[in-house]
Amino acid sequence: MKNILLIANMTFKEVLRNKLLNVLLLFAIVAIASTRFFTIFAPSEELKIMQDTALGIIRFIGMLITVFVTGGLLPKEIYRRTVTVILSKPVSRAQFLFGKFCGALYSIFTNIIIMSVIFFMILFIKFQALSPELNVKFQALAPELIKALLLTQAELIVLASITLCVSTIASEIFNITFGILIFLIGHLSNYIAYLADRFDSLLMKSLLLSLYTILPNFENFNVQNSVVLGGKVSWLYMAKVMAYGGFYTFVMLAIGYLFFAEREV
Amino acid sequence: MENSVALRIRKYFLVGAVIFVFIAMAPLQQSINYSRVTEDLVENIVIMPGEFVTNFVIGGFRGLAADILWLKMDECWHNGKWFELLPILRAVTWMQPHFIEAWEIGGWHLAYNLYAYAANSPDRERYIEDGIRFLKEGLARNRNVYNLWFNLGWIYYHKLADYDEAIRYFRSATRYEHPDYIDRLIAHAYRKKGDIASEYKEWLRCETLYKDNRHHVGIVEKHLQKARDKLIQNGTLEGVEAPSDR
Repeated sequence: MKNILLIANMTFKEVLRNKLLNVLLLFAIVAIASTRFFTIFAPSEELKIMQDTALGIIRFIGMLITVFVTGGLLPKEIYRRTVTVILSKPVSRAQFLFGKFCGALYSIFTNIIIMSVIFFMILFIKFQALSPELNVKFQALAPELIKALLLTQAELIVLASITLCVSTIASEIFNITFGILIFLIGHLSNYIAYLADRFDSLLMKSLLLSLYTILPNFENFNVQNSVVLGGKVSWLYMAKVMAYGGFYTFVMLAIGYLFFAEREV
Repeated sequence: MENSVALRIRKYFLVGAVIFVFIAMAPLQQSINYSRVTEDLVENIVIMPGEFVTNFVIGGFRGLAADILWLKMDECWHNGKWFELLPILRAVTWMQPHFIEAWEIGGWHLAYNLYAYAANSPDRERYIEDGIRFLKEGLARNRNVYNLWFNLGWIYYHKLADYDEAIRYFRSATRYEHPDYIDRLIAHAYRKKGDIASEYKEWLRCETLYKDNRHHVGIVEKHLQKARDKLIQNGTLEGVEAPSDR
């Protein structure tokens, strides 16, 4: 456990020094803050556009930060040969991999929390500016928005585990490209099920349904639209999706470990 | 050697666990799909080849795509492109069926703006019908808020003078959190229909509501008095009973 925490801590410090990620975070903060200035529409429309934009930015920048952080972790260590030094100490490959994963999550969480806090501040100011009476609405909306952001975090954990799994065998550029593509494909999973329904061929149907099961279904984590439009998300749903995310992350880390255990470093 | 065997066993165990978890995920996904249906989190499939919104939709940014279309709709509105904005509104409601404003504006645009813009009477009737159909479609996905019930009732009340239908929809609107004027509109609809006894009962019911709202109380008192006077004139006040709780 101590080894894992040490590696996680080192990874976090390493990520903090990455200028690209700081620029991404800065861009996200400016973009979220600028949503305050949507003032040409009716109040309800302004609030909707503001929330859609801010949640979209958090998810998109969160995705970029995730793939850039996790995609480069192992290839950099292997390229610099630092992995050989670390593994020559009493540190197992599983500990190393899991430590790297925890460090990446630590930095992803920090970034998402910073963006979320800015978003909540801006949203609160907007509600106050429109009418202090809307405070009640804000209080009702805030827990649902927190749930949506928690699911975004969970989605990014799954994405991080996939990218880390691939990074045990591939180069940094490949990992980043793969991470972005899997994020897009993961949001199209429901289309695959939709297509499978429309195929008469049993072979195609089975193929598509297998693909639907194997690929991560990131739409499970997407409740933003419903929340922004006043919908409620139950804790049971949250638990199911978190369990799904947990299972998927376990599978990806296990496969990643199996690859990494076989790899010559 | 022992280590190597242990490592191999651990690997086999891990492979088994991966397969088991993957198999377990299929029923979990089914359960999530079911929850998405029951909690109204399901979204319509959007396939618009060549459209810029697809890029957003496939990235999971459906809300942003709908907002961009909404801005496009706003632009069409201000440029007087009234027929162009209809398919855009359709796309918005398809992507976000719980976006109430889109349904409201679409229904109102058809039943009022395009109605006024139409060259002849059959076209006008068609636009009202289209507006009603549009709102009913929205109502099918948004039954638990007052807005679309009220909007439908208003078209029946104001455009078609079908007061029975108007009352039915206004009354449905009052089942959910709603503004005070909808309760009064029910009484007005009875008055327009010529059913003074029911109008009087409705004003009596309104009298029991929103007692802290001076504006509401003032209007209700005025109309209650008028309805009472009419009933006295007709000699039917005695037969009118206080309304039961609805």
